[in-house]
Amino acid sequence: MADLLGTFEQIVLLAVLGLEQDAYGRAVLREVQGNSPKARTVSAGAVYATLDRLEAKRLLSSRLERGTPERGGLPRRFYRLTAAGASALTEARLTMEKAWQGKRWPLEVMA
Amino acid sequence: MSTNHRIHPPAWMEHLLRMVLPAHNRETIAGDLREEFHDRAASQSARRAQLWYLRQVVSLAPRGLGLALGNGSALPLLCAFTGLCGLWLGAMDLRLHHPASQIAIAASILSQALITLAALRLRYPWLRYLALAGCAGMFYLSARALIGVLRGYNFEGYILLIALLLAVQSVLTICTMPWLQRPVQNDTVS
Repeated sequence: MADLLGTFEQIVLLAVLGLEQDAYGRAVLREVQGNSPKARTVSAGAVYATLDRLEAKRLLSSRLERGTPERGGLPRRFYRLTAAGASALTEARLTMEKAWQGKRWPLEVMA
Repeated sequence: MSTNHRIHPPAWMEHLLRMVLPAHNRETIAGDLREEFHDRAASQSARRAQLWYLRQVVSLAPRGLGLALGNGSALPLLCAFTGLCGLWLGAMDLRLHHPASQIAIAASILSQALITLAALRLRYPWLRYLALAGCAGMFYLSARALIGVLRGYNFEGYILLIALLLAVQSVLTICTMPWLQRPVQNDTVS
């Protein structure tokens, strides 16, 4: 079994999945900031490092496209979930669902 | 076309950003941040957008520097040198009929240097873990040797030099190796 995805990796993969054809770096960053409970503290460095890592693990693939005038013509890197990425996400979800089975919600912690 | 398209971050900030970005993502990340800066400057203020931009540069710096160190000549050069040191130590140990344990140390110095060089080049995860484990072992060995030198019961100049080199190489490898995960690929703009 491959390593289970970390929470932040899952958030980034889900952002890419949700953005479909528009999943380029800045859009992913915005999406992740929007979905994160600590939105203001999610830095570009963390998101780009995770995107790179996921691509290196072949869970994401990317392609370059020409940039718009707002970005001075600089290219955009668009990301897409690979089949391996989809199965890693599914595995992470199933694992968590199994782990949560039978647990009371909301959590009650003894003082 | 609107003049709004010309709202860009200050040139020195962009220059700083490009300095800390890895080559394969230099243009794309700079473009993303420029685009976000453009929106923030228009909706908030140029000053706030500049502060935001600078924060992103700082957040990208550690990884960029780590990649630069790993991809640059410093680490491979150090590995090559420690590998040569291991080879030389092994040859001397054999020639002077030293105990097998000393020959094993020389062999392990040479092996970890070769494994680290291979991990820098090939980027296989298992090779990276092997290199990291090897470097942790080398750090332990070099620390022991340095302590021996400091206590004065084993003072030899070449041991001090090799132990120092090994310690620096181990720390550098352990700090930079986790960032070196991206496989080499050719990008084309469509």
